[in-house]
Amino acid sequence: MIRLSFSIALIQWKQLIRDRRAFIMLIAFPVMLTSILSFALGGLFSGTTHQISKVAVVNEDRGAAGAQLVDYLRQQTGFVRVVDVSNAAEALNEVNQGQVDGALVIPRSFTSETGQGKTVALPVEVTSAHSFTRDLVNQLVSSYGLELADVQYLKTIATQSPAMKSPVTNSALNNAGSTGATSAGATSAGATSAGATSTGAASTGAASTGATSTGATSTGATSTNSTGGLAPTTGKAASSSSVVSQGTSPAVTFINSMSNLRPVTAGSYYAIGMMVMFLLSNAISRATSMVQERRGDRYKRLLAAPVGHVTLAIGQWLATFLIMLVQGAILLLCSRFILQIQLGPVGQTALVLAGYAASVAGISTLLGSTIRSVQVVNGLASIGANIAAVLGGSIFPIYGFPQMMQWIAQVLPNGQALTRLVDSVMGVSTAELWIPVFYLVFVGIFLGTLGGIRYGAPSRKGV
Amino acid sequence: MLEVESLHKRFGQHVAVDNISFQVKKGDAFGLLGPNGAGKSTTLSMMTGLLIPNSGEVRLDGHRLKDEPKYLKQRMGLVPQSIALYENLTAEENLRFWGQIYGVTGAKLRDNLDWCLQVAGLTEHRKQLAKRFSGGMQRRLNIAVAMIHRPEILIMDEPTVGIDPQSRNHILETVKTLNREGMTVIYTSHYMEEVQYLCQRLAIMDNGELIAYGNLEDVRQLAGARSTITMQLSGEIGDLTRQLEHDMTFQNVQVEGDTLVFQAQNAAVAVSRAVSIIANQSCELQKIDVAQPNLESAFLHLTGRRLRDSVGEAGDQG
Repeated sequence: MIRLSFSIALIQWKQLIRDRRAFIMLIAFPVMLTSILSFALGGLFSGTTHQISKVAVVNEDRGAAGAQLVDYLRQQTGFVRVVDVSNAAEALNEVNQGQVDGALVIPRSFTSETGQGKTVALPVEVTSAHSFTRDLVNQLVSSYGLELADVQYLKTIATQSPAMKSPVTNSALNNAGSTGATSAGATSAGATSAGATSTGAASTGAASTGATSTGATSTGATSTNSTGGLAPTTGKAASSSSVVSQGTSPAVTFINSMSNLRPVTAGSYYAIGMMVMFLLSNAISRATSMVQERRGDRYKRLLAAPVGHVTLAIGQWLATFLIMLVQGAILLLCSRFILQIQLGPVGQTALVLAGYAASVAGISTLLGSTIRSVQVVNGLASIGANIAAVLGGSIFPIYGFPQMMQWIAQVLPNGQALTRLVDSVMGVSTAELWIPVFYLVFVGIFLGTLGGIRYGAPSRKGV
Repeated sequence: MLEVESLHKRFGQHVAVDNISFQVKKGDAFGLLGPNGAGKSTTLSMMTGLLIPNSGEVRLDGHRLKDEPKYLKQRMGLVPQSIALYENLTAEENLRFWGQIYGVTGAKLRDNLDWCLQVAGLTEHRKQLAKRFSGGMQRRLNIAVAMIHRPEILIMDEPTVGIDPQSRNHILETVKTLNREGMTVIYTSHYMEEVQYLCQRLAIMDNGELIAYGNLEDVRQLAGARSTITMQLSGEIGDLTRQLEHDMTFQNVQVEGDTLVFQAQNAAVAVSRAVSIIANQSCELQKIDVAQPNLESAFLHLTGRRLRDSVGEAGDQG
């Protein structure tokens, strides 16, 4: 049975690769679109050469919090270069003359007001050409705000419990996470108010959150979502970060270190998103071909042969699986080596891709086996696939979605595949990918089996 | 022996095949004749297991299709009405694939493949893509694919539709030869000449019913000893039809455009009377054709319609 199914799959594969036009459409078109997107998003797309913003910082605050914020910014060498400036007028002048990309002013009352848990507005000045810098600074300040809030929280705990004199451990910090996020919300909201809205560019800013890790440490995905950026969806805490509280002492020390999770660039995200979307779209197109084939005499000839309909359905499923696998691999390889986009480890990427190819093969087999009208499948291909692409996060990042939509995205195979490939880029372990991959394979086999019940079976209504 | 017993198929309110029964003996060339929409293809679909009948059954040597579909399918080869090939594959690749589907492998597959290519006259084109073939060559390959497993019964659903006369002759000769070599052939067509040429036994279908069934000679004699006379006219025909219908000499009078067709027991008398009637009309006789009793006249006798006319007016469901 399996041998025959492979024969059927192989014959379809041969048909495809010998049809030059179909083959070019299958591979070249998605690569072309990915390239166009890469150019459209410019520097944001590159995973290796992103821009480092030059920011003039005016620290009018003489307290500890202001100095710590400046130190914090200085440590973000992958994203900003801090230029000390003595006053706001000079900073503005430098921005206008193009000597720096933006200016941040830390107000005189920063330490005292944050110490009282108040919201503090931090003005960020940029020219219209440097909105990215503004978003980036917003993100960094937000992260700092979250960190500060955690410390405030820990200070409160320490004040209430005199026994707590020793440094706070990671687990204590993680346990404090959800509550910490609440207070962090107040602080980071103040920080966010300093800038404008965090939109598309914020996703790159979110990369900084992952890199700096301190803000994300306690709150994981939750805290980062509040800024609308890309976050580790595993909710994984950065284990190498720690915060040391000096008990009831007013002095606070931050010890920052890099997270295990790597940043995800917009380029990586959209390369994966496009791949996932195209595979889904092509799988539905293949369902159209199946419906067309079912109306033809070649299908009659297959049905008249002594082959079980399950064998025929497996053959169809396998053919689609192989085609999707190859298309996905080509798209990712082009993204990696032609567009220089950072992807996850090869093994992990291949694993998720195989799982996703299995699930879309199942979708294709089910649609191609059960729907009788080509128009209906075409409608699904043009509308359904696009809706699924949006819900699955190929157009807009999932992490900005409301909770309900994020849940839908995780149920959809394309949303699940996208999320796991992004996780892979961020550096999650392979063990964390197994369950999602099993889910994808299960969806593929389940839907394929449903399709197999109909495909190739004698009909009551005519073939 | 292949037995079709009380097959009945209904699509909604439309009865496509109405309780038909017939038998095809081993080594027979059996023709299923009828216009488009008569129910021929639906019958074949039920015989090959593509379509589930509402009632009735198909048996081969006592094995019921319903119970042992693989037994029957392994012994049948289907030539569908349209080309059912993988166009981007070569002739050889097509044959090899379908051979595998029927479980033929190794040396047997190689032998069968060579034989099929030879029978189809495509040995020199074995490495050529099917899409590069002419229509006739594709038809021949279409038949060859159905024979790759050397079936006992070759079922052909109008295999000569839309091809040139040369390819048509080649196909008819091939089928004749295969039948002479012992292969049972079930051949559906709306071309009575093909069925007359190939088949010893036949059934005629119309509107889902079997209206005639038996040996070729028996069916041909259903029309009696009547000849079919066709007259080509020019000018105003007027009430010619009515006049002829009132005369007992003429049966099944039909006028289509400027062509008058009727049947008659005595062709000479009928022609003479028709000529005199036409002479009183404002039309002129251009050409006379007298055909001896054949399947066409049998069909005309049974249905009151000519087979060719029915072909034109019928729907999709064969």
